Amino acid sequence: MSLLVVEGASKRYGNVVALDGVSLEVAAGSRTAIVGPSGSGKSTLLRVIAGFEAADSGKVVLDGTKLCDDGFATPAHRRQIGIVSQDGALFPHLSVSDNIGFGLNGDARDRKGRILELLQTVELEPSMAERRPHQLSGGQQQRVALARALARKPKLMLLDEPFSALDASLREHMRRAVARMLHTANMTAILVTHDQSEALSFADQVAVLRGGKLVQAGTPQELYFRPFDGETAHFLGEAVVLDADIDGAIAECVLGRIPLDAPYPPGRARIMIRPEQFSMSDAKTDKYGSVGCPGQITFVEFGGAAWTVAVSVAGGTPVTVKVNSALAPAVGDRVRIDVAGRAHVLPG
Amino acid sequence: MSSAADIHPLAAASARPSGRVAGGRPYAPVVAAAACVSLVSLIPLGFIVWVAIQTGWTRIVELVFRPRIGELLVNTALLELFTVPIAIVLAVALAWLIERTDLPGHRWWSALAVAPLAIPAFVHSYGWVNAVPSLHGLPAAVLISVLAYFPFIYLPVAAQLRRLDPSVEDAAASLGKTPRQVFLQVVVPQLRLAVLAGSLLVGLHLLAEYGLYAMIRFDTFSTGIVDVYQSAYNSPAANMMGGVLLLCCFLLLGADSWLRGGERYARVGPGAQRPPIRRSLGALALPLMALPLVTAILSLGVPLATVARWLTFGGARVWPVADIASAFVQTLALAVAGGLLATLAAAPAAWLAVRAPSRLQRLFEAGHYYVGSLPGVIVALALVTVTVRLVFPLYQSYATLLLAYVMLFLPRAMAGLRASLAQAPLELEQAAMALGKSPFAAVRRITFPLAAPGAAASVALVALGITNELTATLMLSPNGTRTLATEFWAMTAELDYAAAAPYAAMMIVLSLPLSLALHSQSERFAGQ
Repeated sequence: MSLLVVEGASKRYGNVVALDGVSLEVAAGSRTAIVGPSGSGKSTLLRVIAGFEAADSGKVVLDGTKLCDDGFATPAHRRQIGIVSQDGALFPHLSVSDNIGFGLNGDARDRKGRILELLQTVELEPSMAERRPHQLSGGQQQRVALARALARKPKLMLLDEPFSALDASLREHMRRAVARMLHTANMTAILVTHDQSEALSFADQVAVLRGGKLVQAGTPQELYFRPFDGETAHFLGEAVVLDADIDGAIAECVLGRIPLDAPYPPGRARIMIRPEQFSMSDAKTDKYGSVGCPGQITFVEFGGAAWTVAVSVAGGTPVTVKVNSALAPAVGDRVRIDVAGRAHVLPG
Repeated sequence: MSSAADIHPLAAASARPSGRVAGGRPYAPVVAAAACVSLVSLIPLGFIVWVAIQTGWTRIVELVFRPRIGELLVNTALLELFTVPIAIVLAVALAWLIERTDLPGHRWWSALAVAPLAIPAFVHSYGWVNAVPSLHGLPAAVLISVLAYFPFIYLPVAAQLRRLDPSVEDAAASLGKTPRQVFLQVVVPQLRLAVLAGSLLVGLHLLAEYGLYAMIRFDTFSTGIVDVYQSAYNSPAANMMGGVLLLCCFLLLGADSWLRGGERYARVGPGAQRPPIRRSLGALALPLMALPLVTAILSLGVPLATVARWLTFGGARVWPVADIASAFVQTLALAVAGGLLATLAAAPAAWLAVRAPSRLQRLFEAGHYYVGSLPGVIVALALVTVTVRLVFPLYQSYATLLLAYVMLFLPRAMAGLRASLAQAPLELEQAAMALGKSPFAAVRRITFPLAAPGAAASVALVALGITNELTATLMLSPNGTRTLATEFWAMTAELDYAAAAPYAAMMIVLSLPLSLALHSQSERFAGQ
């Protein structure tokens, strides 16, 4: 069942179209990531859902209640939607416990117990309660912001790039922790981010926004392996896009005949393969008896876990391949390339 | 991908002003309030235009093209032309020595370079007239003006020197520039805006100041206007001189914006910046220490010594406790009331400037700032005429005096409030609303507490200005008003310098903590 339904949301600022008829459904208890380059309208969509901006047209329905429709918008404080923003937006003049208790009503004893419970939910020590926001690290501030938003038991939690202000190692840790906390609290959440890997690993559903339009929405695997167009493919990760002749469930391209993820009508099309799908072997020794496509290495770059290798295949087409970092590829080496898994035809 | 995102037209959307509430309703009542204040601030300008129309061209020519006006104009121009450059050289030299060399005790010198601001200009004058009775004419005016006003240039220049990124200087050095070339080609050009901002302030003060020049009998436009006004109030002659003075102000403002051009202060980037490099003075340290030392002796020592000398000579006779207490209480009451009113009046425009910047808002802001750059005499002349003609019951009332204070110190209140409202970003209010608070409750519980310290500071800044204000107070205050400044002035007019000393001392004692607080705040803003 869909908890949140956005239908044809549009918003412009003067001549600039920020949202152009975006429709999105979010299932109860799920995590959705809205991802897109800066200026794609993802923050505007979030602010329309939160009630900080009113859409020019379109509907937002939460749990069967209309939040906004043409010319009508429920103000933010009556929406029962929690939000955690990029820098946490903690109130600097209040202690951690007063920040968390800010949205709570009810008597003082209840309140104290609830605040301690929330500190526990976000995995913070009770001793933190009397600290002030400036005495907390970035990660701790985000935990407090999450606890503060959880306190009112909102129906929906919005996360507006909450990890982008953290450094890389902490970011990953916090992303997992937040996913766990949301799961514990059985909370439906929408994450807005420009970081595709964050979106893919955090969410059950990923929605890609570009130029104010929703390009594609689906599971992370669906979007990664079956993107709608080349731009989406490149946005979600490195991709090799090749021209091919389609013949049923087989694509004929410079790499040879490659099986497709689904049968397509015959003709010319563009197919996408992820670099991890390739394996590379030395053409001379050819220990594995590869039947792959021959080529020559034109570029190598060491990246820790893997080499990024560019191989020029028939007709000079460059193909990017990820290779086990224990190997030692060198420019000029003659190699063969095999493809594991299936290629995907880009419909867009 | 990121390069494609950068050129995407929608990237502009993220730069839009975020100052609208849901549904894009503008803050209509706030806009109306800011418009009202802006209209009131136009009274002095409107007054001059109205007088000019009333007077008629032939009469204007008669009143303006007189030898007396020419004399005042020459005096004022010479005062500006000598004082501003000397003050710039002194302030930049001091700021460089204090901020960028290993001069021993630079923290103390820095405080001493700002402290002269705590002494009202006419008390500087009082100090010098007593110390060197033969002082008179242009040299005396320039000397005292430089000593009283150079901190206005020192403050922004020192702040800018602290803020400059040393890596730029390193880059210049690595390109083969000698330290001297680095200073002249890299550092000095970056000080331009700070020097301009300070010089404009000094220039406007030179035009506006009455007490300083009246005491050494040096005639400028402001003293000339007050003289004419005192002999025959509401005379067309005084009003026309006011018109010429207003033109001088606009000339300065225009020159400033022309010199400034399209440049703006560079934004300070995030992240820690290395502290600036301090040059080692070596054996020159002691001789060079003479500069801040002599400056401090002349700008602080002379007025303070005079006050102290008269206090000891005068003994108990000069401490009529009841009189002084009453002047103190009246001053404090006027200062606090004026400070509160000015802060209230500035609030709508400050709010719009932070939350909903727009073309209209910039117009309001310009109105708020222009009126503060007007000399007290012009504001006073305008209010006298308006009250006499239109609302006589308000003539020489406290309401009119407070209105003059609000107009004169509106920019101070604006600056303080803007900074404090910026402490309470819209995001926090929205966070409160997302937590179920109504917009009103969000403002009350989040924005007010966060902005309160800054608002209090702006009340204090205005109060400080009012405590040391003389011209408008003399011209507008109701009969029987006795403030520290007017009592001081009355005593010195009778040449009873001993009796004036306690009032001077009280004004300095009231101002000193605030001036030093201002100094430490500017250091903090520079990220040190």
